[in-house]
Amino acid sequence: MATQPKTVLLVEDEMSMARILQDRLELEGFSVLTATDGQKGLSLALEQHPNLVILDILMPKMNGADMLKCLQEDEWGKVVPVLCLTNLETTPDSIQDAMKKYAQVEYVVKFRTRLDDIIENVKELINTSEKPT
Amino acid sequence: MTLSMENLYSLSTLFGVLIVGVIVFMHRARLCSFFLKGKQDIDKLYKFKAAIESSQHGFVITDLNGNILYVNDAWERLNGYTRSEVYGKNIEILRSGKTSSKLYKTMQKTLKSGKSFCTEDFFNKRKDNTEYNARVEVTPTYKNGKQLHYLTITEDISVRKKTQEAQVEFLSLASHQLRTPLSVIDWYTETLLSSSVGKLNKKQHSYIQEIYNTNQHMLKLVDMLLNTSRLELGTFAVSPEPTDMKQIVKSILTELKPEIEGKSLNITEEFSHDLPTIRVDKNLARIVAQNVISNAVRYTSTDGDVWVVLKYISAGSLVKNKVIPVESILLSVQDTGIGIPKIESGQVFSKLFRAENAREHHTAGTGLGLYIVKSILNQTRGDIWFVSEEGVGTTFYVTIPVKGLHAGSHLSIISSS
Repeated sequence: MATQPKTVLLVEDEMSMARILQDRLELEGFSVLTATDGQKGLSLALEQHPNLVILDILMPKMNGADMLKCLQEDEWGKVVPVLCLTNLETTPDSIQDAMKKYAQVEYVVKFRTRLDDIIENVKELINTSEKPT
Repeated sequence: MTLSMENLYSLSTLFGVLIVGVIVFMHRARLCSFFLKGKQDIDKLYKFKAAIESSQHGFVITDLNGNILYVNDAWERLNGYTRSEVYGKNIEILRSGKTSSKLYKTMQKTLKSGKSFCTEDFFNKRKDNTEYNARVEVTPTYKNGKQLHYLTITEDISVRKKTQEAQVEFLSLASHQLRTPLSVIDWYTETLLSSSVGKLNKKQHSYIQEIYNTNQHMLKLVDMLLNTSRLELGTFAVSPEPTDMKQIVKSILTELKPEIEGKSLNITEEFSHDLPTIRVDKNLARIVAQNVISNAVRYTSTDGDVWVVLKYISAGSLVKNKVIPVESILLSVQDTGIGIPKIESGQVFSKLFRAENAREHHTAGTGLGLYIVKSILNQTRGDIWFVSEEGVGTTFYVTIPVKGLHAGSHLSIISSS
């Protein structure tokens, strides 16, 4: 039986970044949903329940940190793995708090991370979240 | 001539104020053995008074309840009140309501315990209701072992703070805006090189590799420039946590593996067993170790040797003729590289400096690495020095104190000579 492709929701306002991320994820067999701000990202997440959310931090309308907060108010949103991506030097406090509280929230700095490693990170987070506890 | 009670009162106040001024100055200049004697001493008294009167900082002396006994000219100019308006009034007239009440409590506690209190976070209100960000330094003065008065020195730092805030904001914006396009180039070239979207021919591959490498260099350069600015602005946030230096060194060596293997360098690692976990900022510790180790790898030619050693050093120990004042971890990195020319050895830690032979050997260096390392170590009571012979090799010694910095402290630069 063919397994259903895993869905990744990519919330990123920088189009060129979103495009290469989407291409690489699709090449790896993921089905990719995209949103360009936190507001759209949040409603898409709650509606589609993807297997993982990739979340940029600096975004218009609703930033990634606020979207993460809203996500965690939802039963499903509390457990979905989230990979926060940013080029900010310091991790925002709210993201740090979320990482301490929820094991499935991770944070990577874009300019220090190879795309290969991000894909690996995505796979790992999805695998871990699917293991029965 | 008769003296009215009022005159007597103001004379005694003036005299009291002068004495307080003298006590404060004696205390500050540690002139404890100084005693007032005759006319000479009265001259000195007037000298101190003139000094306070003409200071550009606002001086105010209050009793222990905050009632104002004396202010100087600068204080009058700063706050818009004249002396006659404020004598006898409480210092609370300056309260704008914007200074945190916690800060006032801390101040009172500190002063009661006999210590001086200093802050840059006061927001004072002038007579015309305009506000300013004040730096204040409050010192208790004593008579017969009992607190007598408080002396407060006030400075308006609004402009300085605003400029600094603007610079910090610019830095954070610049770092984000510069890094985003560089990250885009990084990820696209990485994908092209990985052949996951089709195979490039040899020439195309080598061109893309060139773009990838240059872009990596740009990313590092941006990182270095931002670190430099942060250190110079004193806005490098430091968050110390228990850190295993061995782990940091090992991960740096793993990162440098392609270069190490490309040049067939022999790396010897030596970590002593008694290495304690140290309380430092992981990022800073990494920047320090990364620069020193990667320099050794970069400036050592094919088949050369590099030794990386981590050792525990107790307080007062001697390392290469240097006394290490506090218990530290010593990182020494020895190489058989190009060495540092004797004539240029004094400039190695200067900003943007690169030695002649280093420039020939490796054109892409920034001249910022060791400057940043030195600045960080200056601020953390650590140290760095080296022994080198041109054409033979170099050993860098770095000591990092086991106790490190306190949480929430900020680094600022001490310019390296």
